[in-house]
Amino acid sequence: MSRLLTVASREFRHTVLTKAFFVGAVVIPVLIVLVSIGAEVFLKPDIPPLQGRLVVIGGSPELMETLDAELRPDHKAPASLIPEGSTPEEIIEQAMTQSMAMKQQSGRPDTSELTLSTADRSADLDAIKAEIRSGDAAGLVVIDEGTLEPDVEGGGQLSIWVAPKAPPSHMELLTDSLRQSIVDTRLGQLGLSPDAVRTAMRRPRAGTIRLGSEGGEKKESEFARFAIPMGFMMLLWVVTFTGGNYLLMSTIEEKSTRAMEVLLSAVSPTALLTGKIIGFAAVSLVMLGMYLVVAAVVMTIFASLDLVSPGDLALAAVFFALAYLMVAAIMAGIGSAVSDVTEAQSLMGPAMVILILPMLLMTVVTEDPNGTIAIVGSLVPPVSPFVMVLRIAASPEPIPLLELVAETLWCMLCALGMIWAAARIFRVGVLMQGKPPSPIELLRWIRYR
Amino acid sequence: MGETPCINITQVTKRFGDVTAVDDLTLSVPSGCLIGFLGPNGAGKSTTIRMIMSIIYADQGQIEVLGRTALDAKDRIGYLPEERGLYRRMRVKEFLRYIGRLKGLTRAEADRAAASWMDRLDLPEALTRRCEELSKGQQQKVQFAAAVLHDPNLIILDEPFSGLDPVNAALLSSVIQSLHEEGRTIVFSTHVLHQAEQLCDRIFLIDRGVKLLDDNLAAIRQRFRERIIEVKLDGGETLITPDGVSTVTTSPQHAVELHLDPMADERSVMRQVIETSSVQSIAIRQPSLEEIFTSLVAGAAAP
Repeated sequence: MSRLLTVASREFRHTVLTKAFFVGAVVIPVLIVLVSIGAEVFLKPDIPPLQGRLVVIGGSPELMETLDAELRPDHKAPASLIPEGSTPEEIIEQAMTQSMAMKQQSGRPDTSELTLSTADRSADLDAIKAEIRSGDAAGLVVIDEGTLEPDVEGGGQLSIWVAPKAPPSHMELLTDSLRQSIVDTRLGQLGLSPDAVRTAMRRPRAGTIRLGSEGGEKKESEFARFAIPMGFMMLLWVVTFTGGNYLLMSTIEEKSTRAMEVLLSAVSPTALLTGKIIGFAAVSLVMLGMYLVVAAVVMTIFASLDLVSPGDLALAAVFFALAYLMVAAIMAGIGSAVSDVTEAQSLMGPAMVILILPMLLMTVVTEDPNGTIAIVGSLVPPVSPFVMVLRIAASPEPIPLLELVAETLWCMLCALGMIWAAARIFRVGVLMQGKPPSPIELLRWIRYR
Repeated sequence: MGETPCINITQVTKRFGDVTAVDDLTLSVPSGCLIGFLGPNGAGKSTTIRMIMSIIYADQGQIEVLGRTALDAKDRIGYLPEERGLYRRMRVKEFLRYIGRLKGLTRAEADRAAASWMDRLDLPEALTRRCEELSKGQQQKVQFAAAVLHDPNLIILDEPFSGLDPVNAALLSSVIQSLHEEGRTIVFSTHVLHQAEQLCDRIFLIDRGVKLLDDNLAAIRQRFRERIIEVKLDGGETLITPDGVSTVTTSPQHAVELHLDPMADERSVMRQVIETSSVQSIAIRQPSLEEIFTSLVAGAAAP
């Protein structure tokens, strides 16, 4: 037992206590977040002001008034206080709205030196265009006849001429402001207040309450229904694959540097493999712990910690262990069968096709966690623990106890079987050099005495 | 030399698919001896050693090491494999500590033994360096230290001098000799026969998985004695091949070597040579291990 722990301890220390792990697991994610925030805060585009005279042909006084308000609003940051008792959806919606508003504001050209003027349809367009080219005018707008009428056919038409070097933000602002002003003018002609119409057009929020089959009811969250299973699944996938990949690389290193024979002179192949699996399980747990802490902080901020029940977490932990064992078995089998990383890639292809299946099944299982595909997926290793985690997180009602116990036991049996097969392959493969084995040879290795 | 065998291999067979790597091998290695495992490439030496180490297992037969099963005796065996295996990024001290811990030492014991062995191998400064920073010869010494730092009763060395310069080869040779004198059993597998001849007191020769020879070096020499007569002729003289000689060869020193028939009388052959040629010197020479090896392997290969 002490030898298992010696192997596990070496694998853990030489993985976690390295610069590469610190950089990969901590520095890079933190850098990505910091760079994203920094880019948002500091990298504001240098937008030239939209200034000079904007000539509008075919506009009414009402349109010009509305357009002036649209083009030169009083910019104020939206209120950032989140009302107490907000649901996660409300909080997220508000955050998104604020973020969009801030983004729009930061990318908006300065219009304080912009003036609006009108001209009639007989005006000399070429002269105005020459003014625009020379920089004396900001632009020219021609609104087609009837476009301001509420019952215009086909929505009407307007054309905008801008300077040769006008940036996209100028065109975007002019187009949006003009189109919105025309709609608002039409509403005014109908005797309606545009703000009142916008308020009336806001769609109501819908709260879904799911009735329990044996009484009781539970408020359902759209956010939780998709985000939580997806979060669980991605976390499981990333963590088990990282641990499994470390196991693969460590086995290949020991084979290619021939350290394997020295190790096997001290411990049995089974003990060595077990020690490695324990060591990299600890590495995976460290990563899982780090990501869970971050997730818990984010969920606390959004007051949505109660969306995950302790029971679901406990079950997810069981299936995390089983998923890790299955992935570790596959990686150990591949690592022991090949002589270097290049050879490993050829065997990783088919393995990845199988292991990517949980991702492909994610939407189907989340939508129908107790459907046929979900149940079949829960029975097919190595997809089974991933599908079970999805089902546990997505299922509106707990999975029936008998089914849950049977599927857990089946997963355990499959994980043990895969570890056993991996140990048999490991025992033979770690001393083999040269051409990687065919699937038939791998089966023969499993049967070797 | 003790009476109890250190290694007892009884009717062991190992196959890899259709290839029989070791065929019905029976071998007893006495405790305290320094035995050379010899044989051409693919003879079955490494497979036999790996079975002794319980790295792989026999299909048939039994292997007992130090009175136990091979697996139970792992801690009492030191092993230097032919292919050197070090973790490139690991520091030497950490590597030796890791191997020592796997061999049952405590951390402090492993550190003490590592420091002591690196001193003995004239490489104390390497302890704090990464394995990849060492030369091939230095890596070889580290590997040797890893094989012996847990003070094993049985030491198995597969090509221990590979990569060493003459000075370091002599140092390692003296260390092996002193370990032998301390009473440890040493199995020494090599292709360099004169090294085996200098170091070993016992020889085990295997070819195509079959044992060809297993005896004390002195007994082997006795068995193959008087089979070669070395003749140096006066300048310009030619030798008339006498009766009882199977083949005539020339040694690297330009002496004529008369290989005698199994039933030939060497006195009669020598008399014939002296009577028919002008001889500068004539002597009965003991065959070298290389000659014994070559003749036995060639004999085994003959249909």
